[in-house]
Amino acid sequence: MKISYQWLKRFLDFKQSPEEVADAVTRLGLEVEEIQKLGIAPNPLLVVGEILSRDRHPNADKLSVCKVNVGQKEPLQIVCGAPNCNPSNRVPVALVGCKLLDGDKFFEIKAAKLRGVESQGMLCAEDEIGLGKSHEGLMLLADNARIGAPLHEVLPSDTVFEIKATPNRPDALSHWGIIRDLAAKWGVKARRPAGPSIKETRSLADFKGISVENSADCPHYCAYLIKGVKVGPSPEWLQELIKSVGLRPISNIVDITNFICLGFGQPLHAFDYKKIEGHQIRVRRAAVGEKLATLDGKLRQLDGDVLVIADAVKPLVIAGIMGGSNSEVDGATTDILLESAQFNQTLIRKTSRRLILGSDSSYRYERGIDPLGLQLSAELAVKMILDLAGGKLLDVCVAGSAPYRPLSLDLTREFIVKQLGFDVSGEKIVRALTAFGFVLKKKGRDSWQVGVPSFRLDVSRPVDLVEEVLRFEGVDSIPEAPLVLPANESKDAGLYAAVRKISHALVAQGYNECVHYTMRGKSETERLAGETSARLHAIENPLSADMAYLRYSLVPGLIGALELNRSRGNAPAPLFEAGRVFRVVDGKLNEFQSISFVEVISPAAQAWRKMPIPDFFSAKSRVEGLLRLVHLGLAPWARLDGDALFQPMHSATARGNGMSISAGVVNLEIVKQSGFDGIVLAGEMLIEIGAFDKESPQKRYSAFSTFPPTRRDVAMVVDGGTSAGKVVGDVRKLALEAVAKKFDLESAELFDLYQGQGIPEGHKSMAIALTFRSIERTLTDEEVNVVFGTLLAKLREAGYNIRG
Amino acid sequence: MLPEDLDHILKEAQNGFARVSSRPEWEVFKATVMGPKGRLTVASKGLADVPKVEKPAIGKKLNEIKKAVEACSDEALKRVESLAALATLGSAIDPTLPSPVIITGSRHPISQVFDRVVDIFARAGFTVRLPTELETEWYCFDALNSPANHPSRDMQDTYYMPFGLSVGSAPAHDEKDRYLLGTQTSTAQIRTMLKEKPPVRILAPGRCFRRDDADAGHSSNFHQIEGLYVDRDVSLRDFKSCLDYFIRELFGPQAKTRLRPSYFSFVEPGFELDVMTPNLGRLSNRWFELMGCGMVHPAVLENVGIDPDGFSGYAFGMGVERIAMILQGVDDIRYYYQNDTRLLKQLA
Repeated sequence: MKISYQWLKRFLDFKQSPEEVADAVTRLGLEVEEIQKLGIAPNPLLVVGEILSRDRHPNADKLSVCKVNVGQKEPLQIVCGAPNCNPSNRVPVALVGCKLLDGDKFFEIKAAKLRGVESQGMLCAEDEIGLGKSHEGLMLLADNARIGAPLHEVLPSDTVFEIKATPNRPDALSHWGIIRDLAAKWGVKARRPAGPSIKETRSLADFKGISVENSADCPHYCAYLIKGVKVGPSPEWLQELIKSVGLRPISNIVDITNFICLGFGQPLHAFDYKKIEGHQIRVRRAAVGEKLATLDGKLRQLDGDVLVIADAVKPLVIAGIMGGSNSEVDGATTDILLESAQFNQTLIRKTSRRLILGSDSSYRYERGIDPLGLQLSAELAVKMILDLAGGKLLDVCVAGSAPYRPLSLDLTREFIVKQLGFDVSGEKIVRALTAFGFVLKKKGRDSWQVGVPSFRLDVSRPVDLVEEVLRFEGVDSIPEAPLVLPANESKDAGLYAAVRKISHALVAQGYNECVHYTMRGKSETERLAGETSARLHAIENPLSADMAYLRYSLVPGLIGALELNRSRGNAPAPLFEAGRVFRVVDGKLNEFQSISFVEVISPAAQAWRKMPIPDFFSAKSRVEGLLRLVHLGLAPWARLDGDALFQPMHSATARGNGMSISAGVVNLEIVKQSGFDGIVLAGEMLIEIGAFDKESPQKRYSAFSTFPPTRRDVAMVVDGGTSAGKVVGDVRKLALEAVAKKFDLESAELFDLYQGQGIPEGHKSMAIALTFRSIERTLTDEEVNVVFGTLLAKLREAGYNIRG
Repeated sequence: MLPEDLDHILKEAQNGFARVSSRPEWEVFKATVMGPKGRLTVASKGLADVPKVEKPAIGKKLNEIKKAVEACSDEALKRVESLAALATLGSAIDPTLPSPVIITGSRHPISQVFDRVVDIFARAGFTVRLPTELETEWYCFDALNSPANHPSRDMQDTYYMPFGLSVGSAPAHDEKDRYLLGTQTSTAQIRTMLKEKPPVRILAPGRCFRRDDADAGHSSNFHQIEGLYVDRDVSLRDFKSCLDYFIRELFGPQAKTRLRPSYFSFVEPGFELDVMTPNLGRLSNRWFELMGCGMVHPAVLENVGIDPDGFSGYAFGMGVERIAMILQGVDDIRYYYQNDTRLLKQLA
């Protein structure tokens, strides 16, 4: 919303500079987004001059030699190249010594000889003094512009503030609204101009009246019929104000309606009365198929969701938003019907959004107007029309009434002080609220009944008055104090702490953290989640097709980042991301925490020392290490052969403790679809949101042996398809049986895997180290040998082929 | 046996032990001195033949020589053992060779801001609660006192999920409640206060969504941190002291703050917090807007079953990208989502 400094000055006496106004407005809670200066900067050497004579330059066809009166004793002689340097024109004159801007550099006007003729200054075009771009000829000033006066005093100048009012302050959406706040703050009395009070006079001799189909759409509608107006340009002061806020002056009638809307916040509409068929106004929903050409030159298709102001046969206006050209006031108009009304806020907003059609009028209606301001504004408009365009007010017709119920709130000083946390006197409270237009009735010592003015739609509770006191006293009145808080007997969410720990560990291991959007494309989601589940990921109203689904996995985003970095020539770097992903479980969409990491599998780059190529096992050990960090264990790993994200045969999964972990080579198709050419290794930890809600119990010490361990190794030849997990599991189980609790089996771990010479085709050898120990004595070789012998027998019995 | 012989044995032992350069050599030489047939052993046996009067003197001398030889042997052993250990280390390194694995991991700039803000508030006793990204209209708007016709609820501004979607991770308020992508982390206020009774002092870092076209300053996917403190007798003065503390911690002791009256549906009075500080590049020495904040609206407390006459509090919410851009000097929000490792490493 644009607010003009000069406009404010028209209704309020104040001496504050534009900067001081901006500061005050800011402190009152309205954001000043921009301050724009109109007119030219003060410059005493740039003055008004009158051309007295024009002679041809003796040495140049295109130049003239002018005598110019700039209010000094003697006229100046100035050489000029403009075609319109004719006698009696008043033009801007840059005197000798005047500095003018050319592009971004200043240049100084000097007394000089131009082609042999003395020139004592320069006559200026618009662009030369920084006004517009015209270089067509000299800028012509008004015939009564005072000769010799500095130009900036003659040209209109103003400062315009771009102000953003928060949605709770519709009362501030006009110059009057800003004045009301400033006057309160500065303790000045503002005068609101008004027309004489107008009563409803329904002669109905001519105008047939207003019918409102549904008062919920339009609770209050006033129409004023004025006949015999003379449509023409509005006076200069009005044109200047209208121009200052970026509008184009159109005619006295239209300019007045804009002046009232921007000046007092009440949208008005003027119809050409003769274009209203049947001379009646119908406020109704549009019928399907009805059309209206609006003033912005577009043909609008209407339907039952759109409220229109219609005559007996056709829609004339999209109510509260924009008029139609079929009833527009033009040069031939002599009779007008002026509308001042109140419409349903939500309806106007929805229609404006749906039609993608906004206006100064809809901007105010959708935020809410002062229910009691409607008639005041109309009365002023009528007076201005009669004053500036003539005519006679014949008929005043009103439908409905102002939707207003007086509100009063009980307030005590104690309440205010408690909310503020510092002392404020009763007098200050009264002064603040009264200044902002509240009416206070004393109930007792420091307690009041506070009447809320009709324009303060935002005030409904006593707590709202705390802000008013603060706005008046200034937010700076809140004292500074050190922060003192009691200890907090609660802990961080477990998931937060775990994710942060894991993330820092990955950073320490050389991973670069990434952040990607949650919204992903359809084909990726369908491929990963399957078509049926993907449907549950779909956003109802996406902005674009490639951001229409909630992400299934972080991995495709990370692969995208691998590609972006490669395309930019960055050295390949391992990446990770911690973020939310979505999965369908039992027909329901679920949000999970995911932590995923990726790296490119490529033969080691040229290096002075060879490094191992990462594979499934590096991802597996990384995941296990990270989980150990947050004290989580897993069920055994199993190959992941039916997954869309990972490559069959080369990836595996493990579950447990509210988690699902996968690691391995990313499905080659997914990599390709994600735009990367290569083989990618990934780990994905999917964690239920509540997985860490329960605090992990304090770890407790359990005694361990101080005696030495005894080791025995066993190697077996097994079928190539047998998993290490099964073999080690069997060995552990049988070894426990063999030990029979005589002492402890401390561990059974695979330490060698061999295929090749000495092992039959399609088979492999696995060697497992067994560690025995007792908590009470040193084991003898003999007793261990007995147990080991039993184990070997059991293994043979179970069908294992023991080597050597 | 003469004392001179013993001196001679010692001298030879000293020379010999000094020459050994490995453990086997040491063992061989040691045997020639101290083994069963070693010269010192043999010499000690000769003590029996020494005349009685000389015995004490010779015996004493023999003991001294024995001790000296043993010391010499021990020292030689230590020396050859360290030589052996050194030999396993190989030749001297060239420390200027490049590291075979260069570990240059980096925390994302957004996460760094999260960490920093969370840590600052942790010192003031705020604990973390995590908002969910998939939320509902009631939690995101109604419970936060947002008017039913507020523009931010429009399909144009908020991402909605289709009607009838069932979600396991974030229960809806009732059957009519509709799922959406959370537009603000303030939803964590509601979920926390419904679960925990005051005093509540939490910080909710999370991700939010608004249906904005992306440009240098906007992203439809962004991050916020929400703070909330509800207790008995929490006043505006307490609120200001908390924010001042945070700003000093984040921008340094020279940073100044300014509260500006503003509006957010869930606070009353509501403010924008502006900050001015001398050391922020082109943002130095001028006010810039940092966050929205205010005293918790009584209607919000009523919505979660807390008596606004008994309890009061303050809430604040800040855009993480905004703070990141201010602190890190990044001028396009989209850079944070591109994950160019040059940016990540620069800011690491």
